[in-house]
This record gives sequence, structure tokens and C-alpha cells, in this order.
Amino acid sequence: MKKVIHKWFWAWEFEKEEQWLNKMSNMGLQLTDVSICRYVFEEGRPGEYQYKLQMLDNLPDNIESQQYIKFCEETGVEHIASLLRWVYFRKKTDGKKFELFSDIDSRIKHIRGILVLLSVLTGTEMLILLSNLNNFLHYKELGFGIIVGLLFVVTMILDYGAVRVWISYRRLQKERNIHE
Amino acid sequence: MVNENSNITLTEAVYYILLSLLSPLHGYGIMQNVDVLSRGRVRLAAGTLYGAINAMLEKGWIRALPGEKDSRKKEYVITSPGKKVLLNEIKRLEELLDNGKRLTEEV
Repeated sequence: MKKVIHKWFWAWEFEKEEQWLNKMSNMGLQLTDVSICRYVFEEGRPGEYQYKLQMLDNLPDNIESQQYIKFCEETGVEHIASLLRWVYFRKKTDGKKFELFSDIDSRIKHIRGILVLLSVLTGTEMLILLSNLNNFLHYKELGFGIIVGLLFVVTMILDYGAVRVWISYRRLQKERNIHE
Repeated sequence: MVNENSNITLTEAVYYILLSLLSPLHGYGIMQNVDVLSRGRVRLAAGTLYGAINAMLEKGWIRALPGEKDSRKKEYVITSPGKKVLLNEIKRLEELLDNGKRLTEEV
């Protein structure tokens, strides 16, 4: 039986999202498809799969991404769905924890990718905000005021996310100094 | 290139991948081999292995074998620069191990 759940996770909450998907798996709900805010589950054996998310360097249709996904599939990992640059993987539980990265360096590289993307988004967002603020101050129109307000909220959220990712990035780097 | 390689410290993953590729293997074969070699201690995850393979292909330490028509899985094998890197690393590890054993025995 199918079950659809609507839920929102920010990009910097991907580990929380994984935990949620694993919790659903333990309750016997296995993810079969993902689109924005929408998760499709099918009833299955509780705990049959473990889930992992990864942000790729390119869009999922890109040849490099396709090669990577194919490589993962050859190692017993199942590709369930892609959403923007994110891919959803799962693997049958074999008594060991399912990981996509087994060393700090590749974890750092993954987090750095997310951090770069968030920083670019925040930067762009701020430029748009400033130009709208300029318009608002110049024309004193309510429309611009509302846009400025909305953009301000979005910028704050993105900034918050970037800081969160930066903190985990720094933590991994410090760890990297003493072991690999 | 040789000088550049003589002082390289390999990660555990790269070291075991190079050892595994003394004979040709595909990705999943490398994972299983490393698992056996390390008696289950080192478990290579797909993302890490993929990154390491690409980095080593770029450096010329390993090469991809021309694929057979019926086999979709790509196989890799170590090259002679790769072997040199591996042997240098074994020398370095010997030094670490010798010093470690000698100095802790003295205590």
C-alpha cells in the first residue's frame, strides 16, 4: 500500500532527513519516490533498508553523475530518486551501517560542496535584496517594500543554513588534523 | 613526477586499493578484497572508493582496462608509477613501525 507524506527539510538538514527516512523504514515504510516536499512510501519489511542522501557535483542527468550512480549501484546500493542536485540512495540492511563515505576527506568534500552552493545562493539573494531595497527607498512603493521584506526573510534563513554547514565543516577539518 | 611521489603519505583507503589492484578488479571487487585483507576493519564506502579511483586515474597510478562487451563493470589495474608509489609507502610504513616498536620496547 502506498503512503504519501508531505514534509519539508532544508538542504543543511540532510542528516536529519536520513534519520527520518530510517525511522520510517523501521516502521515498515520504505521510500520509493521523492519530489519537492513529497515523499512516497510503500509498506515493506521493517528495517529492510537504510537510507543515505548525497548532493552531487552536477545535476543527476549529467554524464558524470550517471557514472557515479551506476558505480554505486554495482556495489549493491539502490538509487531511488533525484531531486535537484540531490540523490536518494538505499541499501539492504546487512548488519553494518550504510555509509557513502568512509573517510573524513570525502565527507569534507561533500560538505564543502553544500557550503559553496549555499554561499552562492546567499550572495545572489543579497544582491537582489539590495537592488530592491534601493528601488523601495527611491520610489517608496509598497510593492517593493513587501518584496524587500520577503527577500530579507529568505536571506536570513539561507544565512542561518550556511552558518550551520560551516560549523560542521570546521568540525570535520579539526578532526582531520589528527586523523584521516 | 618521481620526486613528487617519493614523499607521499597514502590514506589507508588508497593504500589498500593500490594493493588490491595488483591484479585487475572492478569497484565492488576492490571493496570485497579490502574487507578481506583488513579482516573487516576497513570498509570502503562507494562514494569514497569512487573519488579515490578517479583521483588515482588522474595521477596515472591505476588505469581502466578496456571493457569486454558482455561485462558492463569497469575493471582497473595498477600501473608502474602506481607500483612505485606503493613500494615507497611500504618503506615509509616500515620506518614508522620499526621506530614505534624499538622505542616502545625501550620503555
